[in-house]
Amino acid sequence: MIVFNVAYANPDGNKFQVLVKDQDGTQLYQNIFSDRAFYRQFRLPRADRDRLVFIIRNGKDADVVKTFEVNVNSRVTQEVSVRKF
Amino acid sequence: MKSTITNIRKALVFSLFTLTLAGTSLVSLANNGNEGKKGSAGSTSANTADLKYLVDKDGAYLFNVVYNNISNSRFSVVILDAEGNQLFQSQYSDKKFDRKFKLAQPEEFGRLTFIIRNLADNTVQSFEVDANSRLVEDVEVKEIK
Repeated sequence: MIVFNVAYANPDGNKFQVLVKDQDGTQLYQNIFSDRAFYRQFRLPRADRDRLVFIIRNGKDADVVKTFEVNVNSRVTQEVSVRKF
Repeated sequence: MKSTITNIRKALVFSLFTLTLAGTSLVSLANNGNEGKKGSAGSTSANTADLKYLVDKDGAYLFNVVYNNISNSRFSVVILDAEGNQLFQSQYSDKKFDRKFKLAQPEEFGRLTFIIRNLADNTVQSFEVDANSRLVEDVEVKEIK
């Protein structure tokens, strides 16, 4: 799992939308909040996605867009022990 | 049937490296920690056996069996897999036994048992080699601006 902490200051308590999309534009998450001090953890499964886009849209101001590139390097390690008995 | 095929395959995987074939490069590998991983158990003192494992730069596992056979007795070397199947067995009488065994398919390597039995006094020295594989994932998250 990859954990993203999302914080958004919304002093007026207006409704805003949080969207998460992958590199193909596929929507992974969408919800509406009105927290004045928004803070949520988004746990996303580590898949083959190489790009995640977080969008915060309040309908008044320009969208807040944060794009993240995810790179995963996998390797197999082997531990060997020798025991005399 | 499946077990028999597996045994035959594993037996084929093992090949004995003679001292001549192993050559100087393997000796230097055994003595140089920077060139490959190594580990051992046992002692090189008289009447005792020693087993070291070496990993060469190609990732192949080599098991170096040393046996100080000061009485020049006949002795056997047996290698078993995790299920107790015999992968290799032979008898020797070398006074300074020093041979390397190669595991050609390290991905199949789980547990091996090396048994050195002195046939004159029936003493047995055994070594257990365990390998645990782990998948390690390095995840890098970078913001694109």
